[in-house]
Amino acid sequence: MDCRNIQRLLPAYQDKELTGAQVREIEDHLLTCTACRDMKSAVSESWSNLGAWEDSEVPRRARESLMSCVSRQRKMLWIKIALPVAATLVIIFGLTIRYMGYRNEGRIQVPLASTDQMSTEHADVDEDELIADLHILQDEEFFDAVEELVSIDYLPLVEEPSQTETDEQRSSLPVIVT
Amino acid sequence: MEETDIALMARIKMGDAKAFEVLLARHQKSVFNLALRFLGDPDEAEDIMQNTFLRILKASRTYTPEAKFTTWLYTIVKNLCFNVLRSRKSVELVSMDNEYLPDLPATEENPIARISQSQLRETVIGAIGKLPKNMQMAVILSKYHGLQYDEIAAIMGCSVNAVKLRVHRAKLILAQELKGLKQET
Repeated sequence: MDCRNIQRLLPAYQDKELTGAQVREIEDHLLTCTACRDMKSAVSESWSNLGAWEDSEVPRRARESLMSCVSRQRKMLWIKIALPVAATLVIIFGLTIRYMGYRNEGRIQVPLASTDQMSTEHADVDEDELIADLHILQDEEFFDAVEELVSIDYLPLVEEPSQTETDEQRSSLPVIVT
Repeated sequence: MEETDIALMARIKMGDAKAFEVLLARHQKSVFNLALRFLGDPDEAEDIMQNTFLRILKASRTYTPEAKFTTWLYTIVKNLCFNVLRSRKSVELVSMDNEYLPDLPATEENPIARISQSQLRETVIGAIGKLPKNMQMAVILSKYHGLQYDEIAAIMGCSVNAVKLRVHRAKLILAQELKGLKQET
């Protein structure tokens, strides 16, 4: 092998990736060739010199910016999850309320739908008892208030016309013959 | 005992924010530096770091540990970096299929020059920057992240031999570029 080929194989030689025969050939060549020996040193030195480019520190703002971005994304994720869940709950709640409303309406409508039952219930009502239950009518203050309103003509008393008066009024109306 | 990355991913999958912070603290520096060395722009490197961890968070729900976590992590970073390069549109991007290896510069006698740490650093940055992008990525993953060739191949989506070829050729180019440079003691 000439110097050019030897030098091309130097990195592989240093990485111990060559066959025994290639290694022997290179080592024999290096014993006698100064240029290739220099090149061998240059390859290892330059690789070592790359260490002069040491690591840089990560700017603090980069990490902070990333963490705030992650935090925003997490919030968005929660919103993405929570929104459909909340919407579903609202729909379920609404449907439940509506269903309960229908059920209550049904309970009311059942006795109303049965007129016979209603009339029976109506017949069973004791009117005196009903009036007795209306405490407000028994409240003297109520009657006093009504009397007072009457006295100031706020509630004028309207007397019902007697049957004879209405008959007279009707007969006095002019009869138009066409 | 330190919790493994895969265990942390399992906790993140369950919505554990603390596990995400631990994972971030553990890998943010390597992710940032990989992107910084490859792209050479701190702002873009920050964006890459943020996007990488956001992708990890998003993918945690479906993550299944098929390979080493770092292989998956660096694959995300590599893809994002190459996306940035594509968006720049004026880049020497080497196709994975059409392997391009530049010719080696002619060997020259370079006298030993003693330079400061910062000068050496700048020279190294310049020398790595001259490498084709696929070669650059292989060198960075090998030298600065200590990855084996098979891991780099998995990350870059190519054969192990292709990675070896890239790294070996890069070593020769860098040897020419950095020949005779020694740091002042």
